[in-house]
Amino acid sequence: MARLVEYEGKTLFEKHRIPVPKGKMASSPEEALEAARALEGPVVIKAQVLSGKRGKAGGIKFADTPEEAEKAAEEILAEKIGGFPVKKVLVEEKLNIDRELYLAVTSNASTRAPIAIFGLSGGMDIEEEKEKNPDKIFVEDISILHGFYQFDALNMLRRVPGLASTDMNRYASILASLYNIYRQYDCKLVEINPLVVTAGGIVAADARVDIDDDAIWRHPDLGIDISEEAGAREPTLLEIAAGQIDDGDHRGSAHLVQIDPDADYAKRHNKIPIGYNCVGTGCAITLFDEIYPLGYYPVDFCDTSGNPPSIKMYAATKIVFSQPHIQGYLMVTGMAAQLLDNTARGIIKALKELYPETGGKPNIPCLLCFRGRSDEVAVKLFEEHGISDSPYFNVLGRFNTEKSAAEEFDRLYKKWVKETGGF
Amino acid sequence: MSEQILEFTTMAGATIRFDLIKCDACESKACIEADHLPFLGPVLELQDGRPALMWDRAEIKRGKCTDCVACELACQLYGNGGVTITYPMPKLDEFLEGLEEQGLTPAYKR
Repeated sequence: MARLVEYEGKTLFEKHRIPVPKGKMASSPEEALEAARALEGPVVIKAQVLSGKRGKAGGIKFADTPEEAEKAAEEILAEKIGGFPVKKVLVEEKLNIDRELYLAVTSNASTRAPIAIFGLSGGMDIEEEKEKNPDKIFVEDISILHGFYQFDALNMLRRVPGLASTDMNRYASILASLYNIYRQYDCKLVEINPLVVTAGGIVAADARVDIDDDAIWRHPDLGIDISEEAGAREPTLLEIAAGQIDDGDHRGSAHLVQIDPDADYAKRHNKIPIGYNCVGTGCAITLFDEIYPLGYYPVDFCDTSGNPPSIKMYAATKIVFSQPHIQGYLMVTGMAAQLLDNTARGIIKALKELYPETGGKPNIPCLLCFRGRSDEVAVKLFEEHGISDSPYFNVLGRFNTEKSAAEEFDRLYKKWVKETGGF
Repeated sequence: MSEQILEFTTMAGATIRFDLIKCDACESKACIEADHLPFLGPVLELQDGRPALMWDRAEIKRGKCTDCVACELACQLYGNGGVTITYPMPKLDEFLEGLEEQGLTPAYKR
């Protein structure tokens, strides 16, 4: 899902009158120094990354002076959190915390409806807290037809023991605002963890806003690139490029996630990085199980299924081959109902453009296996275009398994290394 | 003077361009045959010996053209090289520029 980083989430909160700490973004230690000077007091410097647990990773530091803030920002900006560099930090006033609370509106997968959550302990993992202290978590189902107003939130908060009526009103107002954000921006989760109570009032010390990927196009004002689901990190440029393949075109899908963008995992585990494309995720997982023990590691996960047009296959193939570290390409279909001749045409167009000098014959070992509708046509198309002639290229048909495909790829790779020296 | 270019945009955002001068010199008209493959609803027909659209451009963009690229591939093999399909991928271009700045090379150029 698309997730806003903290300062973007806080900007949304401010628009909906949820109080947030004073703060400023900084992209350099010098900017952090200026921001800390402007805040005139102790500050906190927070890495603006999507990865969770940034505190434990050294992404949050406190500073009493602007000079300390500059040094802290320098350290954080030199860090990699979750494998990705920190490009920006948020410099914020340090809060004197009296109490921390948890407030959220999210989607309940069971009821397929939104729920509001109020927790008496903030700054914790809500799932863990639910296990340990279920009596401190209060949940309210929301009817999307009715909506969720301040008076609904008040009814919910009446179940919370020990809340003063003035506090109850303030929290209810924030919960209603969170619901408004949830609806307005097609969110999956809008969370304040923690909402901090200070002597001066309440402020959202953190902000998490997760938006439904399929609704991003409805919110151009947020400036989010449509991308593939990258989990708890920002999407890579290739994932954004892949995300745009399906933009505005419902016919089939092309999904690509970079599992190991710099092939660091593959290198550390003595595996050979390869490009990977399957038709059907079940096939992709089975093939992964077969190829991994042979010494290879797919650095991307690409699924092109649901009968995508050839042009989508073409785009996906270009993306897979653009990865700098791959030393082979493996493309296998499950027992596909989709038109595999279309799949083949997309790959052929991509190969002919990427390798104009050889007429589409790649420089790395490639194994393709077509199983399903029009699979024989798909195999013949590669022969017709003269690509199958390559010594390190093979196209298999339906009487093959993931195991035999993986073994054939292994044979091609070893032959390629033996005869050319590889990369 | 008759038109020299036939160009239209597909649902995927690809631009398909026929160089009709080359098409005039093409004997096979392989694109027409390729466009009439089983399962693929045709969008091309021959009019006065040249490829022409069977539908208006709005219908083509709405999905009449299935983006199968069969016309271009057939033209490359059996025609006169008059069909080109371009598909913009700005983010991929940006990625490739970034790779160059890092001193890296995409796998297909290694």
